[in-house]
Amino acid sequence: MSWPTDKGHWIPLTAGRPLGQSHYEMIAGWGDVSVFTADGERELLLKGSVEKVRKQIGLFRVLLTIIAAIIITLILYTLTLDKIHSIALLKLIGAPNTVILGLILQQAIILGIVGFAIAYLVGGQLFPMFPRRVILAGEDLIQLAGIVLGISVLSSLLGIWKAMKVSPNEALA
Amino acid sequence: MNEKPPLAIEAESLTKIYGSGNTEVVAMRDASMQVASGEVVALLGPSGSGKSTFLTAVGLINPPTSGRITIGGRLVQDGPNAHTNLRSFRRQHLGFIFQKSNLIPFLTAIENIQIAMQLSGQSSRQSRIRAMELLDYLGVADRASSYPSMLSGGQQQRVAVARALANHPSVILADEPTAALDSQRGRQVMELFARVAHEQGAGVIVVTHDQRSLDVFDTIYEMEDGKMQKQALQEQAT
Repeated sequence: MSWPTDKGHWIPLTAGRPLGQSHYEMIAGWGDVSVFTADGERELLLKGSVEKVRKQIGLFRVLLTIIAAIIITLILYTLTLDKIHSIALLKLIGAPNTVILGLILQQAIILGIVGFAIAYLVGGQLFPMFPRRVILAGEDLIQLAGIVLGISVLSSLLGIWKAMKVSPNEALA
Repeated sequence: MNEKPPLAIEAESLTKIYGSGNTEVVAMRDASMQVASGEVVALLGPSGSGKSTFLTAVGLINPPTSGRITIGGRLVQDGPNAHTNLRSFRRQHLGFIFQKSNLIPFLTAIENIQIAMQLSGQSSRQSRIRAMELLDYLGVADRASSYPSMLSGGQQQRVAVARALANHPSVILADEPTAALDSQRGRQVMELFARVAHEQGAGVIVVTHDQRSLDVFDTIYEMEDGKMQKQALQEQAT
């Protein structure tokens, strides 16, 4: 079998014999193809599939994080609504906004810490049952704790907004 | 010679107008009141007469459209304009008692009182001592660790009175505090206001429908269609 060169010449190919450097360079010059060695091709396939799995897991993780944030937001908002009369009463007796803000943030952070602790403990029990080995590195845990804290604080914003909006008049209703 | 006690609160020509144009409603018109330190004042009137509007105005919750409010000799509200940080002023100078006791349900009786003091910067220890003194003064010291749901209506009102007294306010405002109580307990609460006013030197304004305890009050005002009138029922009763 032979391939035509750009100058109209033919390159002789022999089954089982790798191409030479001059062949690679010539084929790479065609523009619409990429040239890989056998090792390069293996690495590309491996990297491609790992990258694909990494992206899938990443997307899944982002979705879970968004859903968790929405759930925490709704929980904190509901907890704030439950206490809206008490918040109005606190404003009536003169509590500054910082005190009310602190109460809601404290609640959010406690919720985040409890959630993180439960996830850590339950994860420790469940990971051995996974088909693949799951390793939680120390830095990952710290990073995760930071993310949980951030989400908890951001999720409390809706509740804080509601609490700041409530009038002391509502304590009289 | 009797020296006149200083004024705890003075409301001058308070007017409150809601809405504008065709939807304008005058809830209160030129309402004036003077309450001396240690004086207990009843504010009577039918529903919708403007009593609560007046109380929320002098309580610095709902500003009047016009008129002036002076508390402890200090002008704090001139029409809709506040002359101070109202929330901070409320914390330091005003005590509130409502129809329902309005205690915070997830705090115990003593914590409900402590929170008012802690908001004013008192330490936990100081506020606990003062809260226990107040509960003892009001006869509910044995219920200090009870949650509001574990207290009777009268006990809840006593705790609410204790909270109102916590920061030594110069004015106490009560909005139908006996409405949820039977006549005997209602009378006890009214007498408590009189005792608190006379012993603690606070000016007390009580909005009430309860005609049976009027003898407890030093002065009686009546509101009708947003207008305030002073009566001298106390003199008539005695």
